[in-house]
Amino acid sequence: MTNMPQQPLKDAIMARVRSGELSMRPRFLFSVQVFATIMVIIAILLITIFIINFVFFSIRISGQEQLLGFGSPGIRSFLRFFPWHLLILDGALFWILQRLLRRFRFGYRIPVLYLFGTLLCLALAAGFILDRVTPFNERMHDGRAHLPPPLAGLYEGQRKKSPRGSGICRCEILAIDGAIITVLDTREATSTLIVVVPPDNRRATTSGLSVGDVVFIAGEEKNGIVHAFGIKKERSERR
Amino acid sequence: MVVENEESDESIAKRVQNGETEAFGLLVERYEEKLKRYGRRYLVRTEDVEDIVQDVFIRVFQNIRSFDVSQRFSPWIYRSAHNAFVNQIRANRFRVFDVDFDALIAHHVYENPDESVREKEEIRAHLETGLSILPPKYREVLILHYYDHMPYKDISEVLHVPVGTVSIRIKRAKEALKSHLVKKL
Repeated sequence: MTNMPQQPLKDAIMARVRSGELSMRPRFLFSVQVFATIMVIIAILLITIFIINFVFFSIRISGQEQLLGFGSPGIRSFLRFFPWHLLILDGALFWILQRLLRRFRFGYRIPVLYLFGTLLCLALAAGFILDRVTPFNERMHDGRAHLPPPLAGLYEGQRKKSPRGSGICRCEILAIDGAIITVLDTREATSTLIVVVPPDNRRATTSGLSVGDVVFIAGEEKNGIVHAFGIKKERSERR
Repeated sequence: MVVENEESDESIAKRVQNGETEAFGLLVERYEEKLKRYGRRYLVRTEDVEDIVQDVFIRVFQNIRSFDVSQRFSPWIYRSAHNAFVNQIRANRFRVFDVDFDALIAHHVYENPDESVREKEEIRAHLETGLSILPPKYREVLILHYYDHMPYKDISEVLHVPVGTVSIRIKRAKEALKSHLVKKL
C-alpha cells in the first residue's frame, strides 16, 4: 500500500488555496445568514399565529362555533364549514418553520413531533388570546377598508352571510307561528328565511324566543325552508 | 512539528480562520482518509467518493469561519461530508417529502460505553458482509459508530437528529444485520 493517492488531493486543494482561487467567506456573511433565518422564522411564526387567530375569529363571528353545541349534526356542519384552506396553509407554514428551526442545535435535538407540538400549542394559545382577549380582530375588521388587499379580503369575507343552502344563519326573528319561525339574516338583510322547528329537540326549540331576538340557527335547508337541528339565542333585541 | 501533531483540530481551525491558510493542509491530512472511508462505506457505489471528498474540503475551507471553535471540529466536518453524500444518494432518487420517522418522537438512549473491544470487532466483521443490505440511514450510524468510533452525541451532531434517534437507529440496524446473517446461514 502506498500513500500516493492521499497527497495529490491535499496538494490540489492547497494549490488552489495558495493561488487565491479558493477563499474563506467572511464571518459577517454567516452572521447575516443566521440573522436572515431568524427573521424568516419570526415572520413565519407571526403569520401562523395570525392565521390561527383569524380562524378563531372566523368561527366566532360567523357563529359556527355554536354548531359544536348542536350534537352530531352540528359537529358535521362545523366540519363542513370550517375554513380548512387556512388550516392547510398553516400546516404548510408549520412544516417550513420546523425545518428552519432544525438548522439550529436546539431544534434538531428535540424530536420532530415535540417541536411541532410545541409550536402548535404556542401558536394556538397566542392566536386564541389575540382573538378572545384583545380587540385586535375587531379593530382589523372595523378598519378593513384601509388594509392591504389580502387582509381586507379576509375580513370583508366575514361580513357575508352563510352560503345559500347551507342551513346556517345568524338571524333576527321577525315572527313566530307555532313551530315555524320567520327570520331575517343580520348580515345581509335582503331576504327572509322560514325555519321549521322539530317537535322534540331540546337544542332547537322556540321556548324562550321572542320576536326581535337575534339567534343562531343551524339546520338542513330544503327548498328555502330550514329544518332546524339547533337554535341558540344570542341576544334579545325586542323592537 | 511535534507540537503541530498534538494540536487539536479546533485550534488548527482557529488558526485557519485567522488567516493562517497553510494550516488547512493539516486538517486535510487528518480527515482525508476518514472521509473517504466513510464515503466508500456509506455510498456503496464508490466511483464518486474522491471527487465528493474534494468538494467537501473545498466547502469546509470556504465556510470555516462559520465554525464555532468552542465546539468539536470532527462532527462539523463529518456533517459537511454527510450532506454531500446524502445529496449524492438523493441525486439518484426523486423524493418530495423525506419523512424521518425515527426522529418523530423521543427514544431511550441505549448507548453502552462498556461494549467490549471483542464485541465491537465482532460487529465490524459482520458489517463488512452485511453493510450494503442496510438502508443508508442505518448504514451511516453503524459506520460512524463502529468504524469512526464516534459517540452517539457526536453522531447526533453530524446527522442533526436527537441522540435517542441515533440510539434507536443503531439498535434497529444491528437487528436488521442480525436477521440478514440468520437468513444467510
